[in-house]
Amino acid sequence: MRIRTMRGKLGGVGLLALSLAGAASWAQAEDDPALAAKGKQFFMLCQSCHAIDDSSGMRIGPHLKGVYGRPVAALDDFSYSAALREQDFAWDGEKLDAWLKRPYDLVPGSSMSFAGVASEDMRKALIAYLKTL
Amino acid sequence: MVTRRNLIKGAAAVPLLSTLGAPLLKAAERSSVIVVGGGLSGLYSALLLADAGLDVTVLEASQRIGGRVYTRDGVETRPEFGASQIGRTYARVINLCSRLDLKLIPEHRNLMPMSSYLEQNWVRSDQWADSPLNRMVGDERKMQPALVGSQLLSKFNPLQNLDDWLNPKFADYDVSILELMQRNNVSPAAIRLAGIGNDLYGSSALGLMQEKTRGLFDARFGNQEVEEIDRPYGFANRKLEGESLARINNIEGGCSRMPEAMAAALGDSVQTGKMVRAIDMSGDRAEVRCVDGSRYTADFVISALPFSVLRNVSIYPLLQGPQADAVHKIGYAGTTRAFGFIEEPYWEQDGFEPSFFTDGTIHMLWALEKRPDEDKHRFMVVFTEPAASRIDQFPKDQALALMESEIARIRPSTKGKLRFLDMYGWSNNTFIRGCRHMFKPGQINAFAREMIVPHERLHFAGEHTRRSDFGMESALESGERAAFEIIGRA
Ligand SMILES: Cc1cc2nc3c(=O)[nH]c(=O)nc-3n(C[C@H](O)[C@H](O)[C@H](O)COP(=O)(O)OP(=O)(O)OC[C@H]3O[C@@H](n4cnc5c(N)ncnc54)[C@H](O)[C@@H]3O)c2cc1C
Ligand code: HEC
Repeated sequence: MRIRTMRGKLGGVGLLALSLAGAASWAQAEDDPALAAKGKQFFMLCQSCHAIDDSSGMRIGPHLKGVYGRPVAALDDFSYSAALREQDFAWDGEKLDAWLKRPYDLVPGSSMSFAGVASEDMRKALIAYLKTL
Repeated sequence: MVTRRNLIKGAAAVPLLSTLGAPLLKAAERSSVIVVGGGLSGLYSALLLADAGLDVTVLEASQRIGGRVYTRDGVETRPEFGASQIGRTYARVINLCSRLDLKLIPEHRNLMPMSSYLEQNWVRSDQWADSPLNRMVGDERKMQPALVGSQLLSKFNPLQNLDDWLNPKFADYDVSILELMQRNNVSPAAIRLAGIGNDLYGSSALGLMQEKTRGLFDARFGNQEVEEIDRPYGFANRKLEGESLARINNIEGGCSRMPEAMAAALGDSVQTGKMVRAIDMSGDRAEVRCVDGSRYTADFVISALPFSVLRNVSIYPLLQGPQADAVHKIGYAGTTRAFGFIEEPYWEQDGFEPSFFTDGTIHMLWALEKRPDEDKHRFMVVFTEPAASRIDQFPKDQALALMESEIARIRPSTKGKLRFLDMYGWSNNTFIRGCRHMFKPGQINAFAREMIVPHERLHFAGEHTRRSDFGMESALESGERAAFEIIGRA
């Protein structure tokens, strides 16, 4: 739970430290088109809830266009949980990895009803794909 | 054999159902998958796998696809024998409906207020709290008889996240409803009432709490607070301004339109009348054998069968350990319902409320508010366990006659005013054998975590293999997981 304790006032410094820690591996993984293509397949797990363009349609989650680098809970027309709105970070590889592993652990009380992706490789592929959106 | 793929793409495609030992041509580099069971979970996994470019065949034992989704089209009110209610957080169901061009409409099935007939006495809901028939103690007395079991389970439910029920931290709740209640000093009178519509001995409290937690999630989603329950059994359905969906929705034209549209999208790859009897993975592909002698091979197989009937299928190599226990021992519970019209409002004669709950033969009669387009109220007689298993022991016409005469006996004002249309008992569906899985006490600890692990080339879907959802959404959740597992391997 180190991420949680770093939130809030400490946020800026803590986040920087975190993203540096994971920087080397993420920089490589994320821009690999073959990996992104795999991630697109794995997006099967997300497509019911998330549109990839900015029209959410009947989906119950926020659209994910440009989500990589987007500040958390940033869409005006989506009713985020209070728990997610309270957060103060932007979605980078590290945060997305923790989120996709188990959303409840990164943000307890979030309304994303998703059990998580256990495989690190699959999460990497998904994140590579999210980066292309 | 004609498959959807070679229909669409012509002769160049490789037949999916290549016989044993046939050389694998170009397209066969892709995995082909056999889905056993054409309920929602099976159809959804097939659809997702077809989306991903894999060849899929769905084998369904019955002549009707859809399983526990069953709109009885031939009957006047087109009753839903199975599932119909779609919550506003059913992400997959909602998105699937939009993909299949099915329209969601707010449900009209509001229950009218409910009196009780207990120990041969009538009591109105507004007189229950002070009635001498109410032998519960303290705060318990405020609970309506029909809701005692459900409300106590909610009260003692410690789960927060949707998958907490699988967390060993809560292992201690995997006990019978009876044990949970006794542990919490619930009065004997309250336990007795809870036992009318619940299997006190045979259901794991933790399993039911999983559903409570999911229900609470639905009620709170999008920062809306849970509404006050203003009548026994359920909420007044409503649609908030600015929201696209009501709390509870139905599919226009009937719930069966959904599996039908899924099957139509899958085309020839869905085959009915194909009861699978064996799944043999001892060779280098899986072979699936049906009772009619037909055989199919594939790289992977998804069982989308309830474990109540998967246990009749021979699986090689044999299942082992907790998984074998799960398939062969997990509990199932029945639900039986009868449907009809109320010809005249009998409650105006006897002063009790239109709906009722009883500790007798009938269990519950739900009188439903009139629909805007109808001049009569509808009713449903609803049996859960153990009353469902009792009524299911009779053939249909006897069961209907028994209901009618028993309702008239305890409530004479109904005489000649209930017109029964049809009934359906899910334990009597021999392809399914129940309304739903129901973990027995201790079974979550014993095998809930292990039961979904793929066995050789066999993956498991079906509502009983849910991780965090319930109802139809759990069937889709499980189909999605199984499809995803296979895509990860292929
Ligand atoms: C009375 C009732 C009311 C319900 N109400 C709701 C509701 O309002 N909202 C909601 O969300 N959910 C509701 N549900 C739950 C919902 O219907 C189920 O969760 C869901 O339909 C289960 O789908 P499934 O694919 O897991 O199983 P099933 O639909 O049972 O599919 C299994 C399929 O396998 C087939 N089969 C069996 N044996 C073989 C074999 N050997 N070979 C080949 N095929 C075989 C069966 O014929 C069946 O079609 C209700 C259920 C019932 C019974
Ligand atoms: C069952 C529906 C559902 C599924 C499945 C789902 N999500 Fe979500 N997701 C949501 C909801 C609802 C939210 C908003 C959460 C909140 O407000 O707490 C969300 C939020 C998010 C966010 C934060 C967006 C923002 O604007 O801050 C990201 C990123 C995300 N999801 C990615 C994914 C990915 C990737 C997957 C698939 C691996 C996935 N989700 C699967 C429902 C879902």
